[in-house]
Formats: sequence, C-alpha cells, structure tokens
Amino acid sequence: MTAPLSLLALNHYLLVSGVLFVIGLIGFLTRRNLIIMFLCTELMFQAAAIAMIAFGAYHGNAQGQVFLIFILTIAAAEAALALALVVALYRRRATLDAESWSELQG
Amino acid sequence: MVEMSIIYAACVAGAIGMLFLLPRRGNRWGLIGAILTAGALGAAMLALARGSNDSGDHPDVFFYVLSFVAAGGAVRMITHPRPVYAALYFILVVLATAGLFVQLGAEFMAFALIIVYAGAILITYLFVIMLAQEAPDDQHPDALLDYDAMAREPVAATVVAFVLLGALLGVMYRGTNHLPAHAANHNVPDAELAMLVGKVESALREADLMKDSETIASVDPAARIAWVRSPSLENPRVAEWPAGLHADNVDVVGVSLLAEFPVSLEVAGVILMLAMLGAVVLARKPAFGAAIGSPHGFAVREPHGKASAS
Repeated sequence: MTAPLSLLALNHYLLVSGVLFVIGLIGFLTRRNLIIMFLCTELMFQAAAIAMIAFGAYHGNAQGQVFLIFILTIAAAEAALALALVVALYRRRATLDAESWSELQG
Repeated sequence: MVEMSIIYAACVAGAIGMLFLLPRRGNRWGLIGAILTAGALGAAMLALARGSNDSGDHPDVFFYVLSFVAAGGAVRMITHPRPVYAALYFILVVLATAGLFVQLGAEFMAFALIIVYAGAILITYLFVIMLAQEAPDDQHPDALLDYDAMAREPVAATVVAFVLLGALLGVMYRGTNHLPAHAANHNVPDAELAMLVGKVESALREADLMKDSETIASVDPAARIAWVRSPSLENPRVAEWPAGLHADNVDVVGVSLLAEFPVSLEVAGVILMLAMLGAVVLARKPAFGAAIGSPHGFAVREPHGKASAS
C-alpha cells in the first residue's frame, strides 16, 4: 500500500465524487431516453466508487476496494437486467421515450 | 476551515452553467454554460486547497487534469443528444476515474474498472442502443428525436441536484474534520504477507536467502523476518526479508477479499448468475404463437421487418 491519503486530498476526491454524482442525478431527472437514464445511474455508481476508494486510501486498508468489487458485480448484474427490460419495453412500444410509459403512474 | 461560502457560491454558478448546457432545440448558450461550470469546479477546488489548516500534501497536477476530464465528460454525456456519443463520453469518464484510482494507489481496481465497465458493460449498452435505435422519419435518418433533443424539467432537476450537492459538501467538510487520524487505523505495514507465505518464500529464494531444501515455518511481518526450517538444523533459523518485499495492491485486496468477506464473494457470484438468467428470460422473444406470449404483446411497429434478438 502507498502512504495514506491526507485529509486535504481526501476532501478533493470527495468533491469530485459529489460533483459526478450530482451530474448523474441531473441526467437521470432530465433525459427522457431510457438507455441514457440507465447510463446516468452508472455514472452515479462511478461517483460512489471514487468516494469508496478515497476513503479506503485515507484509512489505509483495502476494504473500500473490496466493496468496490461488489459494487462492480451489482452494476454488471443491474446493467444486464435493465437492458433486457429496455429491450422488452422497446418491443412493446417501438420507442425509448420514458414519457410513453407515463400511464403507469396510476 | 474550508471557506463554505465559496463552495455554496460555486454550487450556484454550477447550477446556472448546467441550465445553459442542458439540451434544447437551438441551444446557443452552451459555451457560456461550459465556462461557468468549469469555473465553478475550479473555484471549489481552490477554496478547498486554500482553506485547509491541514498541512498535508496537496493532490498533484494529474488529479486536477483527471478530475476535470471526468467532470467534463460527465457533463457532455448527459447533454449530448445522441445516445451513442453519450455512451462514448461515459467511457471517457470511466478512463478518467481509473486514472484517479491509480493516483490513489488502487491500480487493481483501476484495471478491473476499465475491463468491466469500458470493456463489458458499455459494449452491452452500445449494442442495445444500436438494436433499439429509431429514425424519426425515413427521409431524414440523422434528425434528432424529440425526446433526445429536449430536456425534461431542466430547472427543477438542476435546482434539486445542486441543493443536494451543497448540502452534501457542507456536511462532508464539517464532518471530515472530526475523522480519526489515518495513522491510528494503519497498523503493521505489510501485515497481509503473514498470510502470503508463498510470496515471501519466492522472494527469499530469489534473493538466495533460502536453499532449495529448506521450507518456511512461519512469517513475522512486524519484525520483517521469516522462520526457515532446514533439514540440517533442529530448530528453525531466522531469515530476514529482502528490502524490496512489500505487499502490493493486489495482495492486499486479495487477502482482504478472501479472509474477511468470503461469503459475500460467493453471494456476489450467485447474484451475477441469477442476473444472467433473468436477462436471458426477459429479453427472449417467444416463438410466434407460443403459449406464453400475449396475443397483443409484441411489436407494434417492427423496424424494417426484423429486429430479432433471439
């Protein structure tokens, strides 16, 4: 392991993590294309991963990295399922517009 | 203390910049939005660097380059109206994030991220984008679809998101001052090597500190020695480690993964397999007239007659 991270550097990484998370959130809320909405959730995963690795480096242990392995697993599983759902929805309506499913809101 | 007013001001400037950047028809304010957003991120970083009473080492120039590339790629990803370009910009974000991981000394996770994200997940996304692409009309195959060209509720989303960012940063920068010092959590360096006897043994053999007939009895990372049992001696003798022997990133992650979280690892494998099965079941297209397909279920409009994914 390299030398532990200083508090100052940790704050910088947390800033980048927060900025990426918020950009992903804005994308998820504003875009209407189903595939791009799922891409934005992946961006939020990335932001969480940066925070995880930075805290792991700050505390000088590997648990952040081990947790990131599980995050990667869940992200891969989620991407496979979500894309299968997108393909199934596209077969029904022949469009990727999220608004076309708005009658589901009940 | 970090100057929080500068951070909050940067959040406001970033929100205004994002509003200019979000997609709409005939957007002429993109450049101003990009400058505002980049300036806000730079101002926040300056406030962090100046306002810290911790004299610890500043992140080096690569951190700034990589984080600006990551943030810029992310902004371009959510503002680009064409899905394929958005996916490509996300690959850029992944590469920049992997660079940040290397900066943090997590090179194994950097490579895993590139392989899993840029190599596997994003390629799947690109396939689905190309499978499910539609042209608005046949005369203009390059024209933008309405739902790609226009943002939905841009003002509300941006305000909510940047209020969240300001609150997050406020809590974090007040909170991190109370974190325990990192040295307290870092016990013996290279302690993982106590479980990696094979690595110590091969290092000793390479340095000619062990003969072929000898075996390792135990390893003591605190004293940086190994007890070596040889056939000619009754008691094990002490062999000092070579100076260059350290537990590297893969060793640390592997020991932590298999010694502390073995059950979680198995569960993760099961989740992956179930997800694969589920994806196959969901995306499978039943044969025409099959009993499980609903009579009105499929393909209101099949693009060009065949879109088989089976």
